[in-house]
This record gives sequence, C-alpha cells and structure tokens, in this order.
Amino acid sequence: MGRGQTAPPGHPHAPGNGSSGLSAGLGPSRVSWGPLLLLGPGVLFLFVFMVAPLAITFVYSLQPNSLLPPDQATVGVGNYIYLAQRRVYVEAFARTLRLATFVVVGALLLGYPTALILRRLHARLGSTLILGLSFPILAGPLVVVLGWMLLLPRGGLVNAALVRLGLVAQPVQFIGTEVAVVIALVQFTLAFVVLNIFNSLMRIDPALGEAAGSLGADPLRTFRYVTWPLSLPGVFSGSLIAFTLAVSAFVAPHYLGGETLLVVTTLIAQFMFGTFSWELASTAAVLLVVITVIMIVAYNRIVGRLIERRFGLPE
Amino acid sequence: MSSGVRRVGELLSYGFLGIVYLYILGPALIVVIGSVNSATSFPSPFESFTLRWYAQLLQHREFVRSMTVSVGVAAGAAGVATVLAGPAAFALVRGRFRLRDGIATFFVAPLVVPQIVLGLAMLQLLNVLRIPTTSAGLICVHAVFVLPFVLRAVMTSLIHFDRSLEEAAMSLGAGRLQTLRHVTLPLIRTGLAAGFVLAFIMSFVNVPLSLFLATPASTTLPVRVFAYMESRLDPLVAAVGAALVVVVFAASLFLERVLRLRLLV
Repeated sequence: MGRGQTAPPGHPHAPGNGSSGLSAGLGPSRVSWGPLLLLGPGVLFLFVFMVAPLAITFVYSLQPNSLLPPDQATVGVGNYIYLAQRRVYVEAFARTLRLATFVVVGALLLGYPTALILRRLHARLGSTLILGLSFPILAGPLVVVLGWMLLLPRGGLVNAALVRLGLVAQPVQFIGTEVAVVIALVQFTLAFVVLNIFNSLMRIDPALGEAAGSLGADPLRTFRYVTWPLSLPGVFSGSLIAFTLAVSAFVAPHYLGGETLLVVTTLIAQFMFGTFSWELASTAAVLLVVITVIMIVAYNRIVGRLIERRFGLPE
Repeated sequence: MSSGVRRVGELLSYGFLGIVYLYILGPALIVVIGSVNSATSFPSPFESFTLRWYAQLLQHREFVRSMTVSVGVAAGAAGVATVLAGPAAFALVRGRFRLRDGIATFFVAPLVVPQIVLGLAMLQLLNVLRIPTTSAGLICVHAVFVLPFVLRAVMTSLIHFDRSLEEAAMSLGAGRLQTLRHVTLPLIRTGLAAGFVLAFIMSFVNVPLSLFLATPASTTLPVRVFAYMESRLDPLVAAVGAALVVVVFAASLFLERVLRLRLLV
C-alpha cells in the first residue's frame, strides 16, 4: 500500500517534476522552516510510538529469559543463542521464510495473468475489478480466515468440489497444513501483486507492441521481448510486498496452520501467552524485523542491479 | 490469427478471471451466507433465511462493548493519523529540502515492521512507563500503523493538484492562509477523507496490533472474535464477520464512487 510503488525505477513520483516556480506560500523557497513544522509532529509521533518502543523491545531481548536456571541468567545475546539452539524455533523461522516464498510464487502465477487480462478490459471496469481484488485486505484477515475454515475442512465445499471433479479420490486434509496457510495468504496478497504488475503494464507505451507486431513479431514474441521485460519492475515490487505481508501474517498461520506449524508471529504470541516470556518474544520480534529489513534491502539491491544490467540504466 | 482462436482465448481469459474472483470473494461470501442460515449447528448446509444471529449479536454484551471500543480506536487512530500525515504529505510533495527521501521512507516504515511486533513494543513501552493499558495506547499504535495509508492518499491528491489554481488565488490578492483555506484544503479534501476512511477500515479490522494490549476495558472487536474462535465456531462469529464485510463493502463503494479514489494504488 504505502509501498505500493516500492521503487518502480524511473517512476516520476519525485518532487519537482513539472510545476516549479511559484510556490503557494508553503514552498520551501519562501519558508525554510516550513517542512520542519509540517513534518515535525509526524516524525516525533513515530519516534515516540514506534522507534522508542522497538528500542525497548530490543533491550528486553537482551535480558535473561525466565526459562533459564538462575546461574545461566546473564544480560546479553543469550536469548538469541537460546533460540538458535532449539530445533522448534529454528524450524519456525525456516517455515516462515519458506511459506513466504511459496506465497510470492503463488501470487505471481495467479497475479500476472490476471493483470494482463485486466489491462485489456475497459478502464472503468478494470478499476472496479481491482477494488474487488483488495476486498480481503479491507475485510480483514478474520473474515477471510473464517471463510477458509468453513471451506477447507474434509466436509467442506472445496473438498466436495475436488471429489466431484475427480481430482482426488478422498477428501484432502487442508486445515493444519502449510497448503491451507499458503492458500489464504496468496488470497490476501494477490491484490498488491496484481496492482503493481498492472501499473507497470499500463506504463508501457502501446506503440511498442504495435511496432513489434508490424516488424513481424507474433504475440508470443512481442510478450517475450516487449511486455515481459517492461513489466518486471511491477513483478519485483509486487513480490516484495507479498513477501513482507506473508512474513508478518498472523491470523492465517494461527488458525489454518495450528500449533504444530509455528511461524515467527505465532511463536511470539506463544511466548507471550503460553510461556509468559517477554524476553524470548522480544528476541523473536527483533529477529523478525531484522530479517524483513535485510530482505527488503537485499531485494532492492539485486533488483536494481538486474534492471541496470537489462536496460543499461541506473535506477 | 482467425477470429475463432481469438474467441476461445477471450473465453479462457474470462473463465480464468472468474476463478480468480471466486477465490478472492468466495470465503467472505461463505461467511455472509453462514450468518443468515437458520441451521443451529455450524457450519451446515443452508436451511432458511434468518436474521436471528444478528439479533443475538446485538444482545451479546461483550461483542457490543468491543464494537464500541473498536469504533473509538479506529476513529481516534484515523483522526490522529490524518492530522499528522496531512501536513507531512504537503511538505513531502511540495518541499525540496535535504533528507526528504529519508523522511518519506521513515513515514512508510510502519508497514515494514510486522504488526504483532508493533503491538508487542507498545505493550513494553507502556509497561516501562508504568502506564496502564487503555484505549489511548491502542489508538497510538493503530495511528502509527495507518499513518502511511493516509500519507499515501493525501500525497496522491496533492500530486494531481493543479497548482495554477493557487497561483490564480494569490494573484487575485488572497493571502497564504486564505489560499490554503479556500483553495488548497477544499481541493485535497477528498484525499484527506479517503485517507481517513481507509485508515479507519485498516484499524477497525486489525487483530495483531491489539492482541497484546487487550484488557477487559480495551478489547477490540477483532481480538474478541479471534479469542472467541479459539473455543468455538458458531453463527454468531459469522454474523460479526458478515457485518464487517457489509461495512467494508459500503465504505469502499463510498470511496470508489463518491470520492473517486482508487484504493491502494
């Protein structure tokens, strides 16, 4: 959403495009303290209610956790070692990353064709349909997950349809498996992936496709050499958003994955409600934030380099 | 290429689109159907239409109380976020100053921090300061989370803003404040309103932000439902879910038709 346009390269959202010159009273050319006054309250608010709390969480993660015997309780990175040495916790982190990867792949496989089809529709219809796609986000995870809890059980409609179509002989156990979690999370993230790809497709000059056609390229070749490469920025930014959303999802893994399929978010909740260890919850939380940030930075680097190589343009 | 092949291609693509939308909307639809099904066991095949579960919902004291908590928190968070993000959007779109990109990134950082972590961190802040958990704490953490959405909405309306209108006002002798009040604010009002509504929705349906901050007096509706689902699934839960769906549907239609805003874009 806010990151809807995470670095679509060359996208002219930078300020100062076009209208320069006369600024209507609030421009910096006249009042240099203007930005400070306008931005200050927001920045301060985020510092007090986001940065400071996260710093406290980090401090908590360095405190000895309550599960340790007193003689081992020292301030430091002990909790990080504690998590790294236990298989359940390492698996929870691995599962989080694996599920997020599946979600990205699934959302791209469904989302790319959807964006291609939506682009060909009438603009008005297209925008209404895109609004429809964002419905799971707006309705919230509870409704969506409740819906899947009704649809996916052995006696549910999905299994009935699969058996009726002859795709499976016996009803499949979805609830409590990673498949169910991925199904719900792809549904949740699809809108972002479609939107980002759709936006990049809309920025492609139709004349390029026509030119390829008139030079004798068939639709497949036009797609391969014109549409696909030019839509890559949308593919990348969409998949990054899908990844971060999947990593931080909580309701879907809790209810569709269950207690045996811990991911980091449900692990944090378990530390808080089950073992009452704020220290371990904080440790997992810090690691989750660090992983997310590393992924975003690395991804932007790699994507920037790929695009540079492909188009010969620095971002 | 023959028109027959194209025809088949078109049909296939509409079929694909149909499946995608069934996948996207199906679960919510099932919840809505379940909420008006008169069968007492849940889930069960549709028997007959009833609004009984909604009536029961209104008599369920905890759900009703949580509903008021949620409305208060969502309105408060959306209000705070709008007041903070509105001016910030102004500076970020219009201004040219050092650190501009860095500050813009800082303002969308709440989207990168997993919500459950924001909630946990808020709980720990309140604990360190020895402030009891109340709705105020909830409003603050929700405001942090929805701030980027409002910022985005207002920035979008400012980017599409015709600056010559302000120039015209000023050349006709209007002062800065007059211009701001009579030209600029009315023109970005849709952006502010859209940001507020979007922020309200995103706060209203959120679970993980509020999970650790729930006390008997400050349990939001989604957290109440989340906890309720732990022990059982019944038509009451479906009724809450369906009510959410209806409210969100109405709000997003309002955004789309009245404010002509494309959400999330």
